[in-house]
Parts: sequence; C-alpha cells; structure tokens
Amino acid sequence: MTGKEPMATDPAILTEGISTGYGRHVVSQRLSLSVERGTRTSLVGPNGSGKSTTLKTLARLLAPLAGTVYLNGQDISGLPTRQVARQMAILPQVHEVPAELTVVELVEQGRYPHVGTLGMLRRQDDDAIEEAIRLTRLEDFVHRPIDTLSGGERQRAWMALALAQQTEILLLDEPTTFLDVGHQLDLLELVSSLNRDRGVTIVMVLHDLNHAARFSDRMIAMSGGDVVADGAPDEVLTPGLLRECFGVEAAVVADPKTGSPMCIPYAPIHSGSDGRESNE
Amino acid sequence: MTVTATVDRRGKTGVTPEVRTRQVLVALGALLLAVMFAYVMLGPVVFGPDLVLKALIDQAEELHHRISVWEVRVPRVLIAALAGAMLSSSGALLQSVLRNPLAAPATVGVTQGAVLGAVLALVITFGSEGALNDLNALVPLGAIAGGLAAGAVVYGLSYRRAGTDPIRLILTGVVVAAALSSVTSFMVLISGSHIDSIVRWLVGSLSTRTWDHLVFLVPVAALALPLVVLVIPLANALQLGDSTSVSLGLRSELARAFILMTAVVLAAGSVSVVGGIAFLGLIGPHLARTLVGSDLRRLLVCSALVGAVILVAADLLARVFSLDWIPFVDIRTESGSRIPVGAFTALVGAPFFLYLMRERMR
Repeated sequence: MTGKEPMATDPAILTEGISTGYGRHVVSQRLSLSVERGTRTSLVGPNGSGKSTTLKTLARLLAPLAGTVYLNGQDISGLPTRQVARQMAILPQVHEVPAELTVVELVEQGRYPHVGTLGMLRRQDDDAIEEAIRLTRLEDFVHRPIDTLSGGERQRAWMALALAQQTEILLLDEPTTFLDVGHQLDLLELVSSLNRDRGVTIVMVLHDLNHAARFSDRMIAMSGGDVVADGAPDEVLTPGLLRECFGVEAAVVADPKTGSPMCIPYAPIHSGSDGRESNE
Repeated sequence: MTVTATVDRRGKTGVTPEVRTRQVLVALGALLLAVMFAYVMLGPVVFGPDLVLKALIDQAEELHHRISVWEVRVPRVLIAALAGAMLSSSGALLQSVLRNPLAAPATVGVTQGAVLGAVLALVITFGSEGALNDLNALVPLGAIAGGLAAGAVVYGLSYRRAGTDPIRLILTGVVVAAALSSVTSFMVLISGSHIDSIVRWLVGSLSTRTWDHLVFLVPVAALALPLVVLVIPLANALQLGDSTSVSLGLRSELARAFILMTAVVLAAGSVSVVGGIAFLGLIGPHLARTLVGSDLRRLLVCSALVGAVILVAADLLARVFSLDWIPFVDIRTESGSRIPVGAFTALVGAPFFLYLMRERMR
C-alpha cells in the first residue's frame, strides 16, 4: 500500500547501539537487539533493569537518546506514525479507562491507523473488530462499559483493541501484572496462538520467569540496563542467572508437563545488594 | 453481525446503544424546541402559541407582538441555545482530553480569561457611547482574546521537555483561573459606579442580548464547527491515554493541542456574548455522559443539546422570576436590571453537580 516494501530478510525490529532513558536519566547504553519475524521474545529482569524502558523505546513511546530503531528495516522515527501503527501494536502496562466507554467503542479505536481521522467519524464494523472480540471471547460484553468489567475481562478488552489493529508485530508491557493465575495463562495462551496461527511477532515484558520460559522462543535477561543473557529459555533460565541477575538462590527443573525450564527460588542473597556482582 | 447484538449497558433497556442514542438525541431535540417555544411565549406580556406562531411567520396583528417576538425574545433564545451548546461541548472536550471529570472551561482558566478580557474592554470603553448596554463590539472581542490568551498561557506553562500532560494542565489551569479571578475582582473594586455592568459579565447574563450579539456569536460557532468534527476522532483516541493513542498512530501532543484549542474557541466564544455562566460547562457533559456514554461522536452532540436546553431553561426561569406579576419576589438589582441567568445556573448547578457525582460514583 505504501510502496516501500520492506525486505523479507529484515528483522521485524532491530536496534544498533541505542541508548534509552528519560531526558538526562540514562537507563541503557549501546543496546543492540534484533527481533526475528514470527518469534516470541520475552524481556525479563529485576525491577529497574531497563526492560520496560527498552520495550517503550522499541514501541516509539520513548525516543532513543542515541541510535536508531529499525522497524522492518526502516528507521522508525522517519516513518509516519500511522504507518507504524499498521505494522506494530502496543499493549501498554497502565490503562486509562474513560468512564462509561463500552468494549466495542474501545475496540473500534483499533481501526484508527487503517481508516484515518475522518474515517473514524463513521461507526467501524470491520471484520477485524468482530474477530478481535471473538478471539478475546468478549462477545457477551460488547456493549458493557469497561469500568464495569472484572480485571481479566478488562485486560482482554485492551488486548482486543490491539488485535483490531491487525498488526504483524505486537508488543506487550507486563500484560499479566494485575491478573490472577488463570487469566494470566489465558492471556499468554492467546498471545502464543496469535504467534502460532498468524505468525505475529511478539515482544513482551514479563515478570514471571516461568511464564516467560514457557511462552517464549527467546528470553532476554536485563540487569542494570544491560543485556546479561540472551537465548532460548533453557539457556537463559539458569541458577547462575538467577543468582547474578535477581539475587536469589534457585533450583531450575524441567516443567513436568511442558518440559520448559522452571525455576523455584528459595532464598534471597543478601550480600551484593545490587545483585550484579557475578561470581561466575 | 454479532458485535451489534443486543447486549445492553446494564441490562436495563432492551435496545442497542445505537437505537438508544438516537432516541435520546431526538427527545433532547424535541425538548429543546419545546423550551425555546415556551421561552418565546413567556415574558412581561404572555403570548399564546397562536400569537407566537403568527408573529414568527410575520403575520402578527399588532406591531408590539412582532417586536417582542422578533426583536427581543427570538434573538435572545437563539443566543442562549447556541452559547449553552458551545460551553457544554467545550466541557465535554476538556473532560475527555484531560481525562478528568472536573475539567471544564472554568477549571482551566478559559472562562476567567474571557471574563477578564470582557471586563477590561468594558472598563476601557466606559464613558464612550453604548458601553453600558453591552452592545460595544470591543467587549466580545476582548472576551475572545482573553479566553484564547488564558488557554495559551495555561498550555505554555504546562509544557515541559516532551509536551504537556493532563494533570499538569489542570493544575496549571486552576492556578491561572484563580489569578485571573483576582485581577477581575480588583477591576470590580476600582470600577465604582459601573459595578453592576461588570458583575453581570462575571455571573453571566442574557439580558439586553439582541441580533447584534448573535451576529457576533454565529461566525465563532461556524468557525468552531469544522474543528469540532475534526477533533472528535482525535479525542476518542486520546482519551485512552497517551501510550495507547501513540500506539494507534496519533501524534498525541499535537492532537491534545488541537483539541484544547477547539475547546478554548468554543468556551471563549460563548463567554464573549453571555459572560461566565457557572457550572454549565461541567454539568452539561456529565449529564450527557450518563445518557449516551463516552464516545465523543455521540457525547459531543448530546452535550451540545443538553447545554442548549439547560441555558434556555435557566434563562426562562431567570426571566420569569424577574417579572413584576409574581408576588413577593421582587429580586431586581438596584439599577433595575433582571436577575442574571448565571445566578440561576450557579444556584441550581452546585447541588445538582453533587447529586450527579453521588449517583455516578456508586
């Protein structure tokens, strides 16, 4: 549509030596990441490790302090933001729900990047909206105000908004934070099915390491703004990393059902307060 | 298609939101016409519907009917409806873009800026011809300039590195509003014998409003209308938060500035002709939200209608209570002018707002 067809060999997202942060507060420096198409990547790390800042920078919610983020091989800062929105959707960590807005009114907004400002004056009844509502199983809630929904339903409604954007890349910032374990699994299953069935590229920040290991092809562990481990879950989720990065003594075993690595932290390490002093 | 299936808001009604919205808007439109018609009927001389209709189609049997209807009541009711609609839709835009239920033209300083502009123009032109009957074109121009300037100052003071944010805007707005009010109070103190005229601008009044004022208001409204249509989709996306609106492909700061500017033009235009009507910019959108929800495509239309109905009805009451034939209620000001409509909206608005909040916070 736009004429600038990206090369199939380009990674979905690529950064070369970017610095991230807020104004004068630098979080990460010289960060180089490449996210291949059709993969599921999880960013993990302790609080303040820079994983959310990294995700926000990839999402263009934050401008990099230095360097460039490439989306499908093109400099993201040079692309019209609506064109980016047709390729990449973001589920932010915190949502602001206007009182009285209904689920379908929220999900409709996902069509903005496709139909533009004037197009959004009309009611959107695109298949994409119907599909987003079906995938998130919100059929019974379409006309309910979002502030009357439970936490799990609410998160699904925001997920449906991102799905209605019909993008090939989906970024999620701690999507499971306020959910109980059932709704957490539910959401991560949905994310994985999007990846499996439609080849959607997933990058997410997750707090739960076992979920990250189970629902990702690749884990990137960050600490103090730097990438300290990067690879398949069973390469990344090791007792050494848990000690170095999270400051806990932990056992790592294979999940009896899925076989993915699973950690069982059993004691914090009190010496080495910033958790970064490696003994390896 | 399943999305339009009939799962209603809280299981109260059996109709889809689209149908309900249409019903609400039609009912409000009919109510507005009814209140406007009653407005034209009532006054120092009460006309029956037949007399009003005859006068409206220029078949009045007596000249004074024609004059009362066409020269006094019709322009005044049209101004009330238009100014009420503009103030209320400005509040709806502000509440959405600032994501704050307390946002209104009067809480972000725009009303106060416009009032101060009008008062300054009044004070400057005192003594010159026509200053006291508010027909002086400098007064509405001063109000528009004051409102726009206040909006620009609030936006500028809220601007940091990457832009503004709703909380900073509203806090700055409250402070600027207070500062502007104190300047206006000072003007009142030093204005001596013209205090009555100034206070009516402060409170908001429709008395002595004629075609001249409408001729000033209509172009402002006509300028604002395309802006309003353009900002509706922007405001719908921006009310989901800055992150989500960027994810959807909006330039969020630009959208916010554009929406704010539209709200400021609407509010300043309204104040420029009727003065600082209290509470309408706050209550109109709240009432509309309970009727049609938060999607601005419906909310703005509904807010405009609600605002028009409220201001016309309030001025109708203000006029009725100012009449001589009501016993025991002789509440005219010292110089003989009528009760300003703004006194009514303030009196009724405050308790009504508290009631609305209690209902909605349940």
